[in-house]
Amino acid sequence: MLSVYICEDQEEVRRIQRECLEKQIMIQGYDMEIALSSGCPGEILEAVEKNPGRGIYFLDVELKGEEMDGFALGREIRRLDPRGFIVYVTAYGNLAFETFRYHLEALDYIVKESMEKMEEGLGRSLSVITERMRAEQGEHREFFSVKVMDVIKHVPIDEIMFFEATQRTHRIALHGVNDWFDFIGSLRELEEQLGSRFLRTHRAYLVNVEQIAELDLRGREIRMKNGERCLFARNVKGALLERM
Amino acid sequence: MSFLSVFVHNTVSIVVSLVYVVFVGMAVLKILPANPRKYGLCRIALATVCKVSLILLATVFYKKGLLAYIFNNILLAYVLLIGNALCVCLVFREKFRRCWGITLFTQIVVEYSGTLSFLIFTDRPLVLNIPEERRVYMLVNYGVGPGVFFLLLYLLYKMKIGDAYRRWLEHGEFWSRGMICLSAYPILFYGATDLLMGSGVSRNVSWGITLLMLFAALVLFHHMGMEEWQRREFASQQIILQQQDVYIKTLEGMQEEMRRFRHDYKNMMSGLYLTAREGELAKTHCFIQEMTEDFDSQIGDRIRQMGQLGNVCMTEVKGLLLTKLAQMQRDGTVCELEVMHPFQGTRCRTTDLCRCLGILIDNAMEEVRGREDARVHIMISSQEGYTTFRVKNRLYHTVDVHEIWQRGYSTKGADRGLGLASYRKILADYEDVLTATAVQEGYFIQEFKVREQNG
Repeated sequence: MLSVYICEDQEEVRRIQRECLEKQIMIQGYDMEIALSSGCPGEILEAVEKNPGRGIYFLDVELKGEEMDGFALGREIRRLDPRGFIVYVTAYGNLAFETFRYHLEALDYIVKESMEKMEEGLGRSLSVITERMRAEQGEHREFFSVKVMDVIKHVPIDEIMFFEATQRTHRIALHGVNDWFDFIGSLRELEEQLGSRFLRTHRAYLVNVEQIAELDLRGREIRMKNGERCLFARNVKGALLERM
Repeated sequence: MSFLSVFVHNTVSIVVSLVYVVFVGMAVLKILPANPRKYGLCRIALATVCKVSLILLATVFYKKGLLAYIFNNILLAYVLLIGNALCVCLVFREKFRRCWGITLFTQIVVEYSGTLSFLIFTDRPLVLNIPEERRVYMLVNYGVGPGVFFLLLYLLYKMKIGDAYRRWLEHGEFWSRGMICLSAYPILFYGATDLLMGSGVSRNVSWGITLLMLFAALVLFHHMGMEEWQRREFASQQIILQQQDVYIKTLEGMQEEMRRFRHDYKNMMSGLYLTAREGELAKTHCFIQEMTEDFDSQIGDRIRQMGQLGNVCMTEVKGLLLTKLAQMQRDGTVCELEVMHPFQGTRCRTTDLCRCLGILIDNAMEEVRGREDARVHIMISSQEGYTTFRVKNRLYHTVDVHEIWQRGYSTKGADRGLGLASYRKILADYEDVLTATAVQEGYFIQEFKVREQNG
């Protein structure tokens, strides 16, 4: 059962949201329940803390008279519930949503300019969430998560080609199918963290063995499935051939 | 003097000269980082070997009396310069150009102050075997010399010559004429002294003349540098003025639209009044909704955009964004700009920051130009002491994330694609910057994160 939380400072809007969500849950038979609807971010956080687990959060962006705005509340919720679904409700049609999505992995935003649109948005969010939960159940994909300055990035492990130690200190570059980014870390720690799927082929490379396409034994080069190349040291040749 | 005592003496003076270089690099030119990272045993060993061989060479030269030949003096000066530059390079992991520049700067000041102090205290070469003369030598070399050195440094620092030199070092080409002239200073210095002494001028007078020449050259050099700097400053001021102009024009345009909307608004209001009076609730509903949407589409978007832009507190970045926004408007590209929190500044140099952001925006603009629903998304977000710059655009063809970094890679034919290569090169110099590239749900995303100025 997923707990649904509503944080909205206007009482009337809050009541409508609650009724609408309750109606949707009942009609569609979703496995959810409204845990709390409140105008105070503190109360919401307290409730989430007491009742850990994945939740759904409908948060107002502008919370008048409160210390926290919707963004700050979202950040706190993310700390308590990293996998929860956060949906923002706003009076302005052109919210800086990309920022919300980037920092808080917010799912969607709903504009409360008219009751019909808001109800439609709430219903759509619930159905997207159910859809996503269903997709997740069938899938057992492992993710590599790493903190990059102020955000945490997740990359599916089977999409990582290799990690490369760059010339700058403690700087590691992740080479993936759809990603290429730098983060602070060490190959040794990654080696321990990722286990046997990855092989330290060279002082500067930690390679995903499943992604190797072919070896150039003379040039001591590895060609990955996406065409990228990296090096291997003489003493890992045996281990590499054995693993492939 | 025995071999050992000469050796010890040389060791001390070479260590001192290295300390000078590091001091100048950190305090006067502010190029070297204040907290060097891990030294690494190999590096220290290499630097030590380099220094010890220099000391041995100098000692042998002295004992064999080879220092009387000007060529050997020049050779020693270069070995010392290269040795110091390499040591700084190895230990601080800085670029050779910078280290060479710092070493040259230091060595010229050292040479200048040393020669000046000997000029004041003695009128002939000192014979170090006589204890009395050796004492004078020690006093001048380790007492007066460093005193004059620090005094000179202080003067240079106060006159902001250190700053000008650093700017020149960071922006100039490596083997520019200026750098070659500076690098040739030992040849010029010893050559000129030798020539003058050879033609019968006394040592002190020839030293004096050489110092004056050196001084004149430095003044000229500094003057040239300042001129170049002022020219650049002027050019960048011009650009800022142009950007401000664009900003004012945008605001004026908005004002004009506001005026027009006010006019329409009155008409709409009277319409609304009529429908409400007739008691048609559904119609009134519709009417209000249309009006809000109208407002949003007419000026709401631009007000919002200007509001976001208002959060950019760096004039140069604001100017860049304004120029790009205007360009996109001309191209018919919609730009969604998000700057949620005020953005004050980063640890990047402003010029580098603008260049990098400019390259990313240009690439995105080029990719979507002329397409239906062309849209570029720019986000600048300051959170927890870091600022993220993120540019996103829809992709109209497949892109290989790892290929775009290769020099000359472009989806638009030959002679292009240099932008990303230089983007990478610029950011490679920074320790506090992390870059990321991703293809996500049909969008191409480029971002770089920088630590904030006071973070």
